Amino acid sequence: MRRLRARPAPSPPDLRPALLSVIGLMFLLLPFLLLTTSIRKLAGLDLELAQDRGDLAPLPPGVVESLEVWLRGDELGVRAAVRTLDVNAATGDATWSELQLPGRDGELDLAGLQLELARLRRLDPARQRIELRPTDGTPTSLVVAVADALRGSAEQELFSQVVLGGQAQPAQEARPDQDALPAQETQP
Amino acid sequence: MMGRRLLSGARPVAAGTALAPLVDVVTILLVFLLKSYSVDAPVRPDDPEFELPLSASEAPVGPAIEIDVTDEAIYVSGLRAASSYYYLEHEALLVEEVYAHLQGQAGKAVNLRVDEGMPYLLVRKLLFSVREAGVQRVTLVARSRASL
Repeated sequence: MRRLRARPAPSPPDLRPALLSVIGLMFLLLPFLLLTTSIRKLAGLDLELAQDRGDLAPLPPGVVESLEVWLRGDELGVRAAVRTLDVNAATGDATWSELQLPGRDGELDLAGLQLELARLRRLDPARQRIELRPTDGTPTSLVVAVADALRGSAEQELFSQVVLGGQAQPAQEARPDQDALPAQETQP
Repeated sequence: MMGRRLLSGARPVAAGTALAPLVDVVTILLVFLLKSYSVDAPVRPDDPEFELPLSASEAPVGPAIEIDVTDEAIYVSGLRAASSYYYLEHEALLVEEVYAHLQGQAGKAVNLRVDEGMPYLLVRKLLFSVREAGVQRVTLVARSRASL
């Protein structure tokens, strides 16, 4: 018993050989990954083509009856029809509103757009669909950038279904359920 | 003098402490590379001007009939089908060459790869043509922000 107590404590195992093998493995993996990777990663925005608006899935009932974003040059606009909930309102009454967001230094005001859309989303949290109506001359890069902004950011989710449509009409002529929309972008 | 002192009196250096930061750096590099790893081939290697729009989406792109739209032409499965200029200038909504190519391929999917500078008008016409041909699934291909 005494002899056991007197024995020196065992020295800790040497971890260096194990560490070296990990480093060796990493140095094999690194060149392999560097040589085989491509500098561009492709991403897909899935579009479901509907013959007309009637082919799109029905929206859940909510106070926001129509919601579209138009894009003209570097100017954005949000046009929404919100059901009037006043006690004096007749059935089907809706208030149309349009917010224009001019560009800043040639850049789209995507932050302002997301702020307005977040406000509308709070009114009708069940609504997932929004229409995007760029003018015909809009570069595709801007259409994709705005479609991304409509879907939200990592911090805040907005509308997962972005419907691509034709050019926006002047405010006084715009009506819901007009002008069949060809493509509905769906969040995978 | 100095060399002799180092050779004779220096204590052995603990290699483990020097290796630890190296392992850290290599681990960070590995994670970064794995996150941005891609085996996607260049979309149009013969056209250096061609660039896809940038997107925050990270959804993968599956195999499908490829329709490429450059500022010069519209290509279907790599073959030149029509002039982009013609369909930008004319009012025709249906891109007949694309429509003809997609006839009888209604069950297949289409990947639309459009140069970032091309006007939306051409995208709209192509979507209309694809839809008229009976194709239901179209993917607009973009460059992911996770690219290197």
